[in-house]
Amino acid sequence: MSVVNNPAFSVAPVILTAGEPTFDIFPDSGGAGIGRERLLRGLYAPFPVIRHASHAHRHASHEQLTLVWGFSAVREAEAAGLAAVSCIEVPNDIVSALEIALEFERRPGGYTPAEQYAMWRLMTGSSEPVAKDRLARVGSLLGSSGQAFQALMRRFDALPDAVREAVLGETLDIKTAERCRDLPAACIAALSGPDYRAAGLSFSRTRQLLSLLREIWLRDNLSPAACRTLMDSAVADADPVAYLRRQRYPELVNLEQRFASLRRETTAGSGVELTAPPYFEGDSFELRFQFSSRAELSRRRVALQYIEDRFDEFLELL
Amino acid sequence: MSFLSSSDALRYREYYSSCFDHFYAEESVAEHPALLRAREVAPDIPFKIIRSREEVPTEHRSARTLLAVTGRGNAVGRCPGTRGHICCNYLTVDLYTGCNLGCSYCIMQSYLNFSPITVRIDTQDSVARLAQIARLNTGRVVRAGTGETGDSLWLDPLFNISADILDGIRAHPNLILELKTKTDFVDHLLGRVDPAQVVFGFSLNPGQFAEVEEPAAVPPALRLAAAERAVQAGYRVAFHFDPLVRSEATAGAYEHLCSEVGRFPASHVAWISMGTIRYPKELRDALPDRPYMLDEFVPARDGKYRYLQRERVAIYRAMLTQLRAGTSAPVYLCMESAVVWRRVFGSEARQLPELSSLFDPVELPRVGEAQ
Repeated sequence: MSVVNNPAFSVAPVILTAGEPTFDIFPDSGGAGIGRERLLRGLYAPFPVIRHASHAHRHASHEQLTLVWGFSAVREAEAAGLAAVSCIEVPNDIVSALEIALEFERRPGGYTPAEQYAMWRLMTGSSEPVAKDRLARVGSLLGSSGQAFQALMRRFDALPDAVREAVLGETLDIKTAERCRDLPAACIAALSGPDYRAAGLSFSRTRQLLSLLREIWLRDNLSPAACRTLMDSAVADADPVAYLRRQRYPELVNLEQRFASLRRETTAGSGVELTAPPYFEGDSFELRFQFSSRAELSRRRVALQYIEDRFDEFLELL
Repeated sequence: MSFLSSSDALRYREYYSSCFDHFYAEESVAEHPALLRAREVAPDIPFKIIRSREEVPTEHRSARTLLAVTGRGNAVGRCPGTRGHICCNYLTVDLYTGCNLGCSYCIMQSYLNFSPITVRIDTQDSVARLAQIARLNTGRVVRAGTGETGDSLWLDPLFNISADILDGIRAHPNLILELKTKTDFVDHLLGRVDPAQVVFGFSLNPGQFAEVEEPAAVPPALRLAAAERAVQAGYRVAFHFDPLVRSEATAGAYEHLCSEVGRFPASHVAWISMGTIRYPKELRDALPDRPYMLDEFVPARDGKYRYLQRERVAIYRAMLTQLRAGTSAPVYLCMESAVVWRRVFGSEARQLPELSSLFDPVELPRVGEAQ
């Protein structure tokens, strides 16, 4: 079918919004930027639609039409009471339609994982494999390369459903998802629960939390229920990551706590700064202080005496 | 096949056929005696001469394929050691790349999965380089080993390369070649190479641990039996407790191994090394989540992950006490910090009389210096 001299035509918004939502993949965009004012004045490019040949009809109101791009704008037009919006017919081919949708959307590099995966599912939904050049074209419109897009989407495909949902919902990054893919589904589901959201953990804190949880789960051979209970306890704690770290690294945390306590008992309020070697690897502690009066120096000296009195306790930490 | 007894010839023919599906050799080594020996020992492995290693089909690039090549570049170098840690000045001779003994803790297996097991069968350059180093270090012992990037003896009954090297260095008595292994493949060398220049080194871990984590290696009890045969034939042996692992499978089991080692006459035990399990962070994800890998590891000063320092010291001290109950052979730590050395031995390696000769740096020829 030729699209040369393709005239625009008018369609009632309700027909488009009631049609197949196949291409409704840009929930926060899809023409939202056009705005009511421009819609009312007709200052917009016609919306691309697929006209289904088998049901083609002279009267637009009876036609089977699938909107390719502009869902937000068409809903806005419907809400504004517009009788019709301007449309243009595009080829009835998924990949071509996607390319057109992406040309309209124009957000290279800015598509969410859910949007990208929705496109991938559309492209791979038919039995025909997508030709390399067309994949490259879509990849370029996405701000990437066809190969990179395909590789990323195949990683998404390989994830268990619950884990993929978490990635698409942007609770998890793909790398963490792959690392934690074997965690009990109940734990992954908890990521979208109200308690987890209330904890307000960033992406990187979520990654730390899940890595620790997974290692404890494997190490202690926890049942899925016990793993979920542990996760819930962590999430209820003021610092969920620290909560799990205490369980994952009991020896290290014990050393850190003993050192913190010794430091407090010997140097608190003295102006002496006492540091242990990183991870207690080494044979020396570091002391730093300054003084500008006899009284200050005296306080530092008392702290040093306390440290010396408890020297063996410090040394035991290394 | 004069270097193998008839029973060994049968054993190795079956064994290597079970290890490999394909055997390639670069045409540059097509007539090399070591290759001809290998073809005679294992005639059942489908064999093909290729122009270069790039011709190995992609689908055959795995540890199920054996590849004999000509040497490229210098095969002799210092053990890479590790920043901020004490190195034992071992020289490495890289003849083997890869191994399919399948040890779960092995970093090599994580990045050599898609490569054939490669054997550099022409040893002339290595021998010449070793001889040059020996001449530069007259008056002191120089230790070299072929077990850095592969097992020294796993493929030796096939190619008999160790004997080639030992023949080549015979004129340099200050050179000692250590053949480090997780096999018991020693018999083809006993009585055929000079006992003064070879040390058979056996890696040891408790049997229960080895059964699961070193699935295709020879069980430690058989390695000890091979060590015994070597000692009876007048050779010296070494034992390597590396990696030392604390786990349910190893609890209490090292004590038994230490007492086994104590049965060997100290005069025939060249050295014993210990090193707790360690790994670089970037390769952690490539290692499987075995139970012992879920222990507590922290970054040491070289960036590698190890047990906490005080735990390592406790492990080494316990091992040393157990070893000292049965042997006076030199014991050293592999890739450990000066602090740990002092905590375990009371001083650093070069201050210990039995170790100073091993740990004094070996002088290497400058690049491009004539051999």
